[in-house]
Amino acid sequence: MSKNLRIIGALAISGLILSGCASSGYQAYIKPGTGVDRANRDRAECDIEANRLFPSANFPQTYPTGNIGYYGGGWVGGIGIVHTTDVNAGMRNQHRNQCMRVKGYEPYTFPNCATDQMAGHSYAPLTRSPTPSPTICAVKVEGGGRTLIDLSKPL
Amino acid sequence: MVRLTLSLAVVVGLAGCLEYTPMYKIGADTQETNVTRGQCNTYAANTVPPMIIQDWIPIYGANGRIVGHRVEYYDANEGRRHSTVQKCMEEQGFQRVSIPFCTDDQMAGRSYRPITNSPPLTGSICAVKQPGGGRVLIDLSKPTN
Repeated sequence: MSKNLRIIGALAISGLILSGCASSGYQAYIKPGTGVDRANRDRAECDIEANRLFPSANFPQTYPTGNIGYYGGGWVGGIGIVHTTDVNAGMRNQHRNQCMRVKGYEPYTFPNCATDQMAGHSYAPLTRSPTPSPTICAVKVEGGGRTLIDLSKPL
Repeated sequence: MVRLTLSLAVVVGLAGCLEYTPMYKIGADTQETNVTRGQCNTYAANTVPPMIIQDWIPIYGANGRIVGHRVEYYDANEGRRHSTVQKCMEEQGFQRVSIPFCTDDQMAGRSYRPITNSPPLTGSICAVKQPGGGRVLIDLSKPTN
């Protein structure tokens, strides 16, 4: 059973990694005209409030593993601890969204910029929250984060 | 023990299909309900930590001899943790209620606004399943169209 669990776990992790690689969008909160510093500050305030109201609560949950068979004259089934869930995570995210909405932001998903879209040009990161348009997309920056650029305004 | 737990889980799961059984407090809005639940979840996670039990269950062959074994793991505190959440919420004035799901006939193609302030439960209040797995309450006596 533990071997099966390891295989299932490895497949699940591989799936998560692949889905992360295949991510085609950048989730952001927008409020057209707002400076990036101000937006980051509002986001941090909402994060702090959400974390205070909904601190993490890890509940191990036991699920059937499907290890059921007919052994020795009777049906038996195995169970196992599959993973631990933070049962407050959903409410915390919901509160963060509501908090940002109260501050006037809308959640929005921007596409990642394709290499051919950028056509070898350089772009400056946007310093103000944009109005969504087909020319706004996200690029990776050093350090692991992402930033938005406007393809219609090459340097 | 394990079979009993699984049986209870099946019974509770089936009951959940028929009725919505939230912790409810008359007058509490969605924010208060969520915050209370979140804090009770954290309290329960901290006060009833996991107690993982490893059971070795023998497998007998046709001649009555042990031919192998299987291993079962479970958290012996899982049920107690959920009980702690419930007790914590009861101390904050919530109680477990049972609300029927709305039928298509009852809704009759009309639209309803979700209830967010937990009014006293009457026969016109029922629950609707949401696409994401959540549940909302509506009042059939107050259609929006």
